[in-house]
Amino acid sequence: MAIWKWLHQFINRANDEEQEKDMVPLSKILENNLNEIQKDLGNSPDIITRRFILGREHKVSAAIIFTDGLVSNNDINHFLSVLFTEYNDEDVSVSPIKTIKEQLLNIGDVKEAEKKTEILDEILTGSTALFIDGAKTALIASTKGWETSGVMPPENQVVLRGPREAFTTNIRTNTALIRRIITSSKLRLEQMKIGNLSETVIGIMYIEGVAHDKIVQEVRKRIKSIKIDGILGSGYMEDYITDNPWSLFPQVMYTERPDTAAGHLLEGKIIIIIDGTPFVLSVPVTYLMFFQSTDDYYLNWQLSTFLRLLRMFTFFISLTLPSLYVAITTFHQELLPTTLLVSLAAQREGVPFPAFIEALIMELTFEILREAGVRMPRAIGQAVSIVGALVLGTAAVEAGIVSPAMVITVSMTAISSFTAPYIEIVTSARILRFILLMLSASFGLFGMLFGVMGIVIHMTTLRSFGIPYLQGIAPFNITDQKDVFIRAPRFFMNSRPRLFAQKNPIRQDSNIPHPPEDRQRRKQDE
Amino acid sequence: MKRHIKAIFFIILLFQSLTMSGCWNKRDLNELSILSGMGIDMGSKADEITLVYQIINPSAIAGKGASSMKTPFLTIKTSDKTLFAAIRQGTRETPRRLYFGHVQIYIVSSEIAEKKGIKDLFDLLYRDHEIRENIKVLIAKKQKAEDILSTQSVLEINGGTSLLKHLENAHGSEGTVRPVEVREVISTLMNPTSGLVIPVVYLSPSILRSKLENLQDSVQKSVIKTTGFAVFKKDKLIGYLNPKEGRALNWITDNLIHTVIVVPYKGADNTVEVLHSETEVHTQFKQGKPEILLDIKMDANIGEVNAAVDLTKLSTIEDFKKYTNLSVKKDIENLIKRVQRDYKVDIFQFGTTLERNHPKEWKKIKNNWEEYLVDLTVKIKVNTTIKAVGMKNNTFQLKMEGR
Repeated sequence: MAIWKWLHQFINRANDEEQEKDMVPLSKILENNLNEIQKDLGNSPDIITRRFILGREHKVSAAIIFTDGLVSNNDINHFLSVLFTEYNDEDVSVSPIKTIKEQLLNIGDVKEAEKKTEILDEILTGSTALFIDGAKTALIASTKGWETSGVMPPENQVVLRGPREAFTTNIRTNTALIRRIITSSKLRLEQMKIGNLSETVIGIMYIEGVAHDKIVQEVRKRIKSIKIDGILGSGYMEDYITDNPWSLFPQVMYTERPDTAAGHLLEGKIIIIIDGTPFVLSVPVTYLMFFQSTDDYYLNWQLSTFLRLLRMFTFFISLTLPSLYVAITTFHQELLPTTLLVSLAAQREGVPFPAFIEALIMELTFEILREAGVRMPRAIGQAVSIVGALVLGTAAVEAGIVSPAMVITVSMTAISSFTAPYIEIVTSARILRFILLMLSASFGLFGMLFGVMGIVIHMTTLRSFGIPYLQGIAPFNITDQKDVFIRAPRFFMNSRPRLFAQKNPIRQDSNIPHPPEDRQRRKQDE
Repeated sequence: MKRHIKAIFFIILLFQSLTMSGCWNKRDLNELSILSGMGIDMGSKADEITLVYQIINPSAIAGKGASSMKTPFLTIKTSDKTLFAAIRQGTRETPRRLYFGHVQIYIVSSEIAEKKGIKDLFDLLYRDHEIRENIKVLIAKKQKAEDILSTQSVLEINGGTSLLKHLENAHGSEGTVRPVEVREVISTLMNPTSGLVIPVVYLSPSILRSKLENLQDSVQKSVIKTTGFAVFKKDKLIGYLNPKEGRALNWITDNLIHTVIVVPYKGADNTVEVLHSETEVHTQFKQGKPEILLDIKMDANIGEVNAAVDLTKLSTIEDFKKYTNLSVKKDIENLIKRVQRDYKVDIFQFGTTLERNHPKEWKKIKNNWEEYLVDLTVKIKVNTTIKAVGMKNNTFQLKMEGR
């Protein structure tokens, strides 16, 4: 606790210093300004100062400062050529700054700045500052243009029939991707900077009149209360804004797909875009949302429903199958058909470990393989899978260390965990699996049942920005059932999820005829 | 911080309870002797019984090690005064804990059933948590249970399962026996007016015990066969029903699924296959005397026609119906007569039906039920519906005769 206090004091002191610096205004003398800025940036070689003389009759010395690499060189060149060729200093009554700003500068986003900190911020985010001798303000021109990867197809959340576009690391591109889908003027974007060193731009997007005001406010409040030196990715945010950071269950949803994000917006959810991360956060979430793949809304509803139920089932499998196997084979043999029991017993003949240790070994092996496969470069990753499948799987069985049934169980568990459309939900199962395994090895099915009950009780206590985590099951609502376990046809989805969009629950006109009127009849009418 | 320490301490305590409890009744599969069948014989001493059990050898039945060179099961026997004591003696002979959860067959030798009765052989099966109540009970006719339990079968090498499937197969296709479970034995024994029947198996021929050659020869030297029922009075075995009588009994008690009936017609033997049979038992009292009416409805299929008859004619079908009805009726009448004459036990459960339908009158005759049973009037009505004649219409024999 003492450490915390000390840290808080330290951070507060740093903030105070910042504020003092903030007050320093620009001086009128150009050289002073330039020196100050260079000094503040530690004479960094990538901060480029270009001095020049402006005008023909009333010559004024001026300079631009920009960060090399963050600016578009075309913009700078164009900017300078305009200044050199078209600057007209005949009218002395108007200040040069004003002339340039109002008559010459052919760049969209231009503003004047007086405070040094503001100017520094702008330079460091890719703008160009123009200083003119004798002026107390500097002109900030937005010349941002750094190398980014363009809009690429999504890598993790692949769908069969959706658009092949993913978010990029640039927040502006990301907001544009969403604006391109939802063109309504009701779409709101709020921007703020978090991190006193990284100054990461964070955007909150929601649809005014659909999203719940209180939730928007809560999101805003929670994000603003983050006091951190830098935010490098969406994971940094998660711990600060989730309701229960101790829980194993994900309370924030990530998506790299603009269409998914837009879908969330339409349901009244709020998305948080973080500059530098191609993953967009979406809040609030419920547990069952993690089983809704984007594909569910692109494929036909019968298949979507089947696949969704399958995913829920496989999640349960990946959570409980090893513990179920251990519990039944070591405590409740009477639950098995005789033939199966005999076959399992024959496989276990000569296996030196109890079923629990066997399961533990195999599960750990699988986790090791999985981690190795993720971390390795793709070329070596294949070797990992060969070693894993051949050496560990086959050899372990032939050596008689594990039984084939256990290999089947663990493989089934592993495959089941791969069906999840959002990988976060699997992380909870990966850890809880071991706890359930221990419980079932000690108390059999009773232990496992208590474990599952504990998990369910924990889930009912969770809330995400005020929305119950098990919404759809625990506060049961019949109108929401159209998109929980089943994915009803589109024409039944007349309302938005109840708790998310209380303000404006109507999604579509419920009088749309379905199926469309008979063509024959229409012809006859004509 | 203090609060955290408490919480951590609590969690450690919880995990202690997990690790210290030590999985007290954990039994891994390779620590078990899985039993598939049990049997009871007379003990060598007068007051003892001999318990025979069949222990599955999993590696000989399934998995890589499965080969005909290993015996699929072991047969062990122990003797003591009670069943439980005998079971515990079994631990002297096996390295693994005996596991009764998968026992499927319980065979009682006819010798012990005749001399001692079977009442002492069932309480454990009912009381123990591990043994199932749906174990099928069999009587070994004039043989030891051990002889049957130690015989290896070729197709289904797991002994208990083999006997069980054997029994179910005979019940399902021919209907001459029917599986009787432990709980049925006990509930019938509890009712003093009803008689118990238990299906019978025997080894044929009985002299030869199973040897390896028995499994290698296509003509099996010793085969286990089911043959009708054993009839009990109270808990003592008093006689047997042959397969045909067994089938008639299944007709009366509505336990028949399928069977075939040989119908003599126009000088040849034909076969009718029963697809579905339903029996309703109606009761009434006439002048204080009970009367039973059996209403049997059957769906049948003409399975085999050896008589040169024209099946496309409705009258032929009607004739088939008539002769089928007659044949079934005769079988049932013969059985009832025999039981009334020889056994005088209500194995048909007519008493329970009477009790259900006429509780007041039943109370009066309950104590003398045996006397009423001996000259009980049983009217039999059989109604067969011929559903199909198979894949052909007329038999080729019709053309042979040039018609």
